[in-house]
Amino acid sequence: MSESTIERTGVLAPTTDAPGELLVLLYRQMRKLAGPRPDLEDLVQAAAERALRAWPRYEGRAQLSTWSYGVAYRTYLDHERWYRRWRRRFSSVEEPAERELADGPDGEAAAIEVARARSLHRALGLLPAPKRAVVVLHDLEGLDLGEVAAIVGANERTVRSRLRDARHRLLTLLKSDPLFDPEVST
Amino acid sequence: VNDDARRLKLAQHAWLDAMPSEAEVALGARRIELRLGARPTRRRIHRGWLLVVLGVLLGGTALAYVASRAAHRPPPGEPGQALLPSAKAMAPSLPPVASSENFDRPALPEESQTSLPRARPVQRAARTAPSADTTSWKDVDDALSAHDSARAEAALERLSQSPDVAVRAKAELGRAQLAAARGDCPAAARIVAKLAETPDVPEQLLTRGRELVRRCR
Repeated sequence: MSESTIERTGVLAPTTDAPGELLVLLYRQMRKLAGPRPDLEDLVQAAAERALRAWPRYEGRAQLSTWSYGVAYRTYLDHERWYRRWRRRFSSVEEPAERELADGPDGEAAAIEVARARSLHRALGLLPAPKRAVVVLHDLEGLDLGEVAAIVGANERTVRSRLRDARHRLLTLLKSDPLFDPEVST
Repeated sequence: VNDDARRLKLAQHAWLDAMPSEAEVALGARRIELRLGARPTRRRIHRGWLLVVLGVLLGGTALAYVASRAAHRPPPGEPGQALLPSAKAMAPSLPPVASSENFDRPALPEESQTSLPRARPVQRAARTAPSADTTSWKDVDDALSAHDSARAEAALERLSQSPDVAVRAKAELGRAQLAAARGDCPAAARIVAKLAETPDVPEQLLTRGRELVRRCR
């Protein structure tokens, strides 16, 4: 089952290779929520373990992609909390967060796109995890507010508030980046 | 506001451009699947523990059963409890009724089918054939029931040749009792005295023998 099918229908036939399909979905969603990072696969594995444990209780009331996004979001949030505590106690080296974006098509335009993507991920990385998730899901992934609220487990007003704040901070960060200067880019 | 909207549009483009390809996602998911498969799940761990516990329980039960069987096994040579030799051991002494030619016939006509049960008496005989010791004790019982003291004496004589000290001692005590019953107290006293000189005779038997001699008139 391809991404489009599973995300469009949100249906995972019980006869198909359910864990395999779920892993693909989780990998893609975690990559979106957490961005390219060295410990992405650890995060996906933690989310997959959590999802497989909860899989028998999934009753299909929410779309599968919403449900799995929720699992990925909670795993990501737990990890970020733990990581913040860990970083407070130990000094950490600078992580090569955009390592995966280094390879790309040749040419100046492609190089600019890669650099812009790096800047975007860097800016997103400066946002707190709940706000980052909201802005990613709504503004970049195009999910509606109700769906985002279901994923993050908050009501729509809270999501709107987080979104407003996150968008403001993100745009402030992007304003200082010439790659996101609308005059130059266009 | 317009600039912000355009910046957001640029961010959306950059976001979509930076998305991993299908192949990359499939490869990553496969790696996770392998990682999950290599790691023992809770269910597997629980199943392993369950098997270990079951194995220990079964082993313990089997050991307890064997120990209880060994504890209840009577000593060899006990009257009426003597061990029967196996059918295989008894087979050479029995007539070869169940020869293999009875079973090797290719066709089994009606009359030959009746020959098949001929093997059964052999097996039954082998299974129920008592040992020499048991026969002797039974002989003693039978002879005493029939008030045939000579036959009882003869059976006790045979038993007194047994390699088992306890069996020998009991047989001697039986002979002393027969002698006392006949009124032959000196003979009973001789037998008991001889019994007292025999090493490893159970003290209980000696006490009974002395009591017998003391009461003999």
